[in-house]
Amino acid sequence: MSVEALYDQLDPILTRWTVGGQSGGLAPPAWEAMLTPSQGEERELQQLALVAHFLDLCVRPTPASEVKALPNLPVLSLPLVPEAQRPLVRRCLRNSKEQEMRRQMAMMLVARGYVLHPADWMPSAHDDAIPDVYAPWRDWLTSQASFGAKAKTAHEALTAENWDDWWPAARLAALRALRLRNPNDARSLLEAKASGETADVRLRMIECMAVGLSQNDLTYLESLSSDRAPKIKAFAASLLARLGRQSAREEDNAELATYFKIETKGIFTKTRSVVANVLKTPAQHASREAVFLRSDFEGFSKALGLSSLELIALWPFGTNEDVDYCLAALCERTASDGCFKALYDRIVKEANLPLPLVLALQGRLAKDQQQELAIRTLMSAAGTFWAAYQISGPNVDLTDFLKSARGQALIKACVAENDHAQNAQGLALIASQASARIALDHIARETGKEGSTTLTDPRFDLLRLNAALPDTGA
Amino acid sequence: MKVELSAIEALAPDQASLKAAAGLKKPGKWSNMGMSSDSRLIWGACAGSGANPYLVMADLGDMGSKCTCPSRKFPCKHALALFWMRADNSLSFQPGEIPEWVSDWLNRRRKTTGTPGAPAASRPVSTEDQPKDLSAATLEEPEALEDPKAVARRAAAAEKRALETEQSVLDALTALEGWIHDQLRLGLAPFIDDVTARCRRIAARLVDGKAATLAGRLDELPARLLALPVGDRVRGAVIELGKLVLLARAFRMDPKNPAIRRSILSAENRDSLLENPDALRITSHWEVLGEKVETRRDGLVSQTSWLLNLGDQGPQFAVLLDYYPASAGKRSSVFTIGEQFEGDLVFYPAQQPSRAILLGRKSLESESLKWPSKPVANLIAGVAPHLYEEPWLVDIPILLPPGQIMMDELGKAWWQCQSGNELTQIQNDVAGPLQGTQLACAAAIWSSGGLTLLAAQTSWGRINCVS
Repeated sequence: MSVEALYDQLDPILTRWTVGGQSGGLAPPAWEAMLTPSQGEERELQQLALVAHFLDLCVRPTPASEVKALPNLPVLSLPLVPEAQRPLVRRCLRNSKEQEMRRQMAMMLVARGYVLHPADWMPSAHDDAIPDVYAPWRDWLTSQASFGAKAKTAHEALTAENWDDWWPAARLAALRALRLRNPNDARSLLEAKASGETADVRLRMIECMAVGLSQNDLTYLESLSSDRAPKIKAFAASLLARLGRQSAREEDNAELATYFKIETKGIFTKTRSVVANVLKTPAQHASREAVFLRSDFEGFSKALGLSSLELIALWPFGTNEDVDYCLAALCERTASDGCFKALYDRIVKEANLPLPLVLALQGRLAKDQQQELAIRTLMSAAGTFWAAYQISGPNVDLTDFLKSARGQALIKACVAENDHAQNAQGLALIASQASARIALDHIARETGKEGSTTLTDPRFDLLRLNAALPDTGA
Repeated sequence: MKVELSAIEALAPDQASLKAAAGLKKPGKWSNMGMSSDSRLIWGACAGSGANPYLVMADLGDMGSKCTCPSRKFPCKHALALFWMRADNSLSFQPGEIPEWVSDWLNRRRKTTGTPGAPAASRPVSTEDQPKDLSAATLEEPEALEDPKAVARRAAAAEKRALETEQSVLDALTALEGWIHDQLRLGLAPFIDDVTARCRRIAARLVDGKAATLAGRLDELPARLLALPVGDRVRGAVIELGKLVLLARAFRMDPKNPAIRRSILSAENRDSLLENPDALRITSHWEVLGEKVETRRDGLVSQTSWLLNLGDQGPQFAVLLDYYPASAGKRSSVFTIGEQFEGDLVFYPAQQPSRAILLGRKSLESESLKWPSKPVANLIAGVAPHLYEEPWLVDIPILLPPGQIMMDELGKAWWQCQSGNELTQIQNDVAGPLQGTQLACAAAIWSSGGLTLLAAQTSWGRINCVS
């Protein structure tokens, strides 16, 4: 007899037991020889034992619907962290409960030329801040969430014809890569296809126009001033301003100028500076900040009767940190490349670099500028490894800095018993491999002293990982 | 870093702790000993009464310590023994990589005190006025002479107790079968609706009848049943209750059978197991597949570890099972999932031995070993031998052949063998890379028609399926 046939014969028994009652007389004929003849408790229990054994061994639940295999998880373009370092990776992940810290760790590893093993960590499908190397995994997670989604065909290059064949994260990564290689082709694609996307997706795509910005982009950016999304309009306006097209209203620039005056000081040598008017109420401060966001750098300079370069030269950095930050943000958003460079050259000479001011410029700084400012920050009295990392990102050569007195002082701070782990984490994230090894040597000399933690403190796990990863030349 | 004997005396809560610590200073009791490169941290695993050794660690900088034993004394006898062995060099501590369980402790220390080097938060509790003296603790007491008549009286009393216990159990099993019949008579639908309360009542009866392990099984039955989809619960209830009948009948036929007694009364204690000539002793290479920690309704926490035998000799799987009171707090895991080690295991006697205790272990010197290439041909071939011998078994570890995970429209995962169309429901969460790769081989626990995946070998390497 087949399993199915026997199972059918047990159906009346199961039904009787479900609602309650004796089922002794319902046994399959083939079982009668095994069961006690008389009805009652003993026969019921014998029957139960047989039915249970049959169901356990031969009957299994089946899916109520169709089943499908998911596509294979793609291999990424960077190698996985070597197996020897994975226990340390897992320990670092366990110690980093916040998603943001795990993301920072993933970014540090990408800068070193590695990706995390998918069994240890995967990004979420919607995490746009994660490096583009992880885009194929983000899209795989997106496809996993949609059971009936059509499989996408893989393509070498992104074109208007195969635009819809790409999953979102991979498409954005391809667009960014194309913008780096060929800005005009990337812009043409956006002109043809961006309008068919949702506002959020459109904004992320258009943000890549900030790379390789040129006069060739003017026409498209001007067309975006009628986009239905306010954030896209604002972003396009800032890029237009960078290209010399005044984007803010003259009234806004004029209003911003009313918050400042140009003062002349000195008897023999007259020096001019742009001084912020003293504000009395929080509402006035809020108004000034709001009008900064509506203005553009060139227009503000004109309203003050200055050129953009004069404005930069006359600005008294260090006297009012709030307006320093606002001016830096205005420059980053709307100033031409020449003005931005002039502001950078001015700021990098300042003795004390407030971190917010530097971070306001961070989005347009070139890699060498980021590293320069990171080292300057470290050298300043209040500088920390964590602050420097926020400016430069990972993989910075700190060899010379670590030899300096300031470098030694920061190492001592990392090792102090009462230090939060953030200093050690900042060091682990910012350091190149060579710098990480040097830092560990210094730490080994400092630990064990009075008031210091031990070398085995888990706060150094991430630094140990950085130092242990083989160099890929990344 | 050195430890002074006087510091150990000062640290001990009482003389009895020092005496107990002296008894633990034997090489055979300790394994996995080591120290950090700066010799400030020391650690080791000390055999206790359970399946797994206790993990003991200490920071010589501030004489802080931690042990996974349930003792309320601080520091416990294991920690004192560890300090003592370091102080007098009676056992060797080799510098090595800090194990995860030590690193986790350091991390927790840093978070709770803010200063890893701070003095220990609590002072030793002194429980008596007797002065603490290390040398007195090492003196052996003379053995008392035994009266032969007293010995004979004790043996007779033990035999009488054994017979009374057996009768108690038989009476409890009769009550259990009557209760099962009542559930069939009254209907399984109402039984499922009220399963927790009904199982609790019969479990209490079984405890009174000295059937403690069986009572625990009844206590856990509701959780297993209610974890099933609604449409599968009648089938699940029939299987659970039928297995109980089979177990009860097996005990009646052979009440002295150790495997059956273990499933109803309690497991043999460690010393009896080690003295049992039928207990299989295997030295082999093992891999930790997974671990499960559960708080039971009876207030105990069960810690289950599954090991895969990477060698040719002995059972393919080993299950280490420990219990400790929930009031003792969370214990660190003894193992790192995925680690491989050379271990000495003793199996509880059974037709298909799987439950074991760990006598000692050492780290593997060589590269990682591959899994044995002898998975079952299909599921039935894997579970049938176990169920024919012991049809009351609930969980059966199994090495699956090549297959992959399939998803249904409701998001449930199913395992499909590469060589056939048969689908088996997966009962644990397998989200992530497991769903996007072929499983060359997977270790799983089979339970009433479903699988709990423990680990799998894939093109991405070994992937854990339980965290």
